[in-house]
Amino acid sequence: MTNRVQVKITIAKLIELAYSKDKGLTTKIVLSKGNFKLKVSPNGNATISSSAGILTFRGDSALQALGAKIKNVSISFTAGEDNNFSYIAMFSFSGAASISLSGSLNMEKLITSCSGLLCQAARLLQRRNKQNKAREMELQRIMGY
Amino acid sequence: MKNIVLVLGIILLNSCAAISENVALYPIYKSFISSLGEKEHKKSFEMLSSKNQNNLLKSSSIKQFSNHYPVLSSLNTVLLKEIEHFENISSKNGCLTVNGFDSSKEPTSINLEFIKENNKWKLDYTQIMYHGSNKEFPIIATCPARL
Repeated sequence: MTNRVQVKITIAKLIELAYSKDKGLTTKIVLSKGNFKLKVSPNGNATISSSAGILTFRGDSALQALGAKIKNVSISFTAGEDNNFSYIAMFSFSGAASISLSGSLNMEKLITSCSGLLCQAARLLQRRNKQNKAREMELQRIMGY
Repeated sequence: MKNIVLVLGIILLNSCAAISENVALYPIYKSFISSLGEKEHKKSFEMLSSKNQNNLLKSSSIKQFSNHYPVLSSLNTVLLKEIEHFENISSKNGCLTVNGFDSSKEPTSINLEFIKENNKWKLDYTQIMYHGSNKEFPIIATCPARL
């Protein structure tokens, strides 16, 4: 089941992934004046972009918790006051359904504070992905590659 | 006398057809929700458009309904409380919007698009809308947005 909380966490995880790929550029994109967009294509490639630049990263690990095959994700963030952003997100699934969500969040708080559950979850996710990759490399070596 | 009976018969048939064409979408939605709740996958499957049915059968079986359609198959758990619904039927499709509140007691809508196949309304696409405030509730039937 995909509910509101899972969708919200997925949005935050996507931002965390961008942040972990390139902290400097993500901060520049997110905190630049104006709006920015986050998109994920069916192959899991994600982009976060604004007038300040564009960053490409892998977004599929953040989408796994939704438990459904994603076709596309499109999230538009609109800047408000004090780094508060309102957003409209649209998740399109391969099974004749989509989920849209509107809300708001404080972007500066999200990307600069890493003590919350969300950040811990993102770090765990990254660590697990790294561990999986390390295991895969090990298996490849064992198999003679 | 025979002619009168024939004319009455034709009028009766026409009126039945008209009733059939104007079947409201909301009872169909409720029936779909009920089939999901009772895990009657065959019934849920038969309420889908042929495109969606073929899509499922292409890669799996009716038993895999929930796995293949994880969002559609959880529609019965989205709205804990319904407050209103709107529907609009055109020559091409029928759209139904159901407003209510989710398990977090926050405003949520479900938009459903039906298409007519063999004179029956079949579910073609669904959108769950998690709103930020009650002001965002649609006040007319809204067809689901597709990316």
